[in-house]
Amino acid sequence: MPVYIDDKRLARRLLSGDEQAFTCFFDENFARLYRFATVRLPDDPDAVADIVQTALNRALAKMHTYRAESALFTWLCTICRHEISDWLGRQQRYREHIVLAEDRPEIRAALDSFQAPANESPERQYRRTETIRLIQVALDQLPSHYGDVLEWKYVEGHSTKDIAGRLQIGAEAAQSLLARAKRAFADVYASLGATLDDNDNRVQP
Amino acid sequence: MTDNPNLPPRESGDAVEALLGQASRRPRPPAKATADVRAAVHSQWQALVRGRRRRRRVVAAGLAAGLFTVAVAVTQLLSVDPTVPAPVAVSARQHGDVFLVGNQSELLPLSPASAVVAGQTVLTSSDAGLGLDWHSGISVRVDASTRVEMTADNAIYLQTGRVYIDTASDENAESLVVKTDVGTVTHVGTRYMVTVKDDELTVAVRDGRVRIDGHYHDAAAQPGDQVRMQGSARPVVDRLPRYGDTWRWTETLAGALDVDGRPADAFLRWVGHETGYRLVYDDPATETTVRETRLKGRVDADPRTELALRLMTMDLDYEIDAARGELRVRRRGGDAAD
Repeated sequence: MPVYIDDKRLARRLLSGDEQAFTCFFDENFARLYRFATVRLPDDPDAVADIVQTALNRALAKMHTYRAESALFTWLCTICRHEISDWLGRQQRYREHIVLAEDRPEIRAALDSFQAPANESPERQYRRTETIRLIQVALDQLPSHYGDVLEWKYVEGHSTKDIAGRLQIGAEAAQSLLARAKRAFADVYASLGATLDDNDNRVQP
Repeated sequence: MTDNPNLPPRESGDAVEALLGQASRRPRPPAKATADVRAAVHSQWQALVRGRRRRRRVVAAGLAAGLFTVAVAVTQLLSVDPTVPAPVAVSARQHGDVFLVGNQSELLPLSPASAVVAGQTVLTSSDAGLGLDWHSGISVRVDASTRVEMTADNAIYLQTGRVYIDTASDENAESLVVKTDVGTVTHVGTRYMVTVKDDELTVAVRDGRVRIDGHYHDAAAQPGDQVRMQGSARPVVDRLPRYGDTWRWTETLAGALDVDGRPADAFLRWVGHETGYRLVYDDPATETTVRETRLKGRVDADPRTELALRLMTMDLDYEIDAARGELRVRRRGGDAAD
């Protein structure tokens, strides 16, 4: 079973009250966890913030139980998933007592009839959106700095020199970091993308 | 790794670059939400760290007590900032409306995973429940319609309602004293329930030993005892099984259990622990199956729900024999009932 040494070390520093460790913990995980929750609760940004805050609080309270057998972010996602599930359960109980006018079948049908037709087929549109989402999920699943450098380089178009400057490392080190990040991304994306249909997502080298 | 033709060929940098080129920048959380959550989580984390440091200092003082008891104790007292109350527990699980009573007697909703500090009073509504992870490792569960004050890091004051104490997860856990208007309840490594209703104090013991120092009478309780005290009347001792409806509310507040990689036997023993039923395997082959089966993930629902769900995925059935107080497990094929 793998042990995530860096994450374990960060957990120990958090337990000891190291302020820099908290900054690192928050900066590396908050945005990723926020996105993790957002795709599961796309219509409720207030709930997303509350849930992520609760998940982070719970994780910090339970940090002494983190065994580093999975990545810290994976562990956080598990906690966040439980929080989302609890929240949805509570909302379901609440919603059982509310019937919105727009949820009534006849009004729903009328509203649907006003929606404009899409220019491209819904399936193709879905596949494209899903591919982009999976790329973003894969970036989030990587160690935080891997995801960042790939995004800076290939999505935002920064030069390797810019990235080296931003990370305060040499150009060769930045190049090497990018190469490692690309390999890691390919592995993660491969495992995520296994569910996609063959033709719609074939990458043309 | 990349047998699927959809995926970028391994080591093909261009393919990865082309794929990444399709993506847009990952969405960023709103700045205000980031700042708000950072501040709230940071504050919570600092409270937890202060609590840990304080406990560590207390432990260190205990170790040094042989030589410098008085001096160290004074140092400890001086080193604790009296303006910052230490957290005594964290809300591990809750349902319904749970409140903290504020300085002006206003009700402040208690958020999940929040710290509760010494001096705070918790109030639960008529359909609520709260599971607290006490700093010393004890599980304190608060039933509906209960008002309880966390008076110190080793004491609570139950004004009305019902609490359940479980020290089983940590046999070395420090003792927790439950004070009531009728008497004070202390324990030695046990699980028990304390109820205050009107002027009556009821203490039911599942495991271990409990002592009750009443204002008029004292009493000691063993497993299976239920002691009732009211005013100056002599204590009444009844028998109460360690399972059944009286204990059922505590199950919904049981903390989560990490079962990843652990044998199914550990999970079933946890179910037995939480429900009060004795775990019985129908035959040695069943026991072998259970010991050799490894589980995945985390148990987060109440024990009975998890039992039904988990056993569905194994080749096992179970039966709860309420008359005998047994949770019987057998290989699939026998009669199963709840």
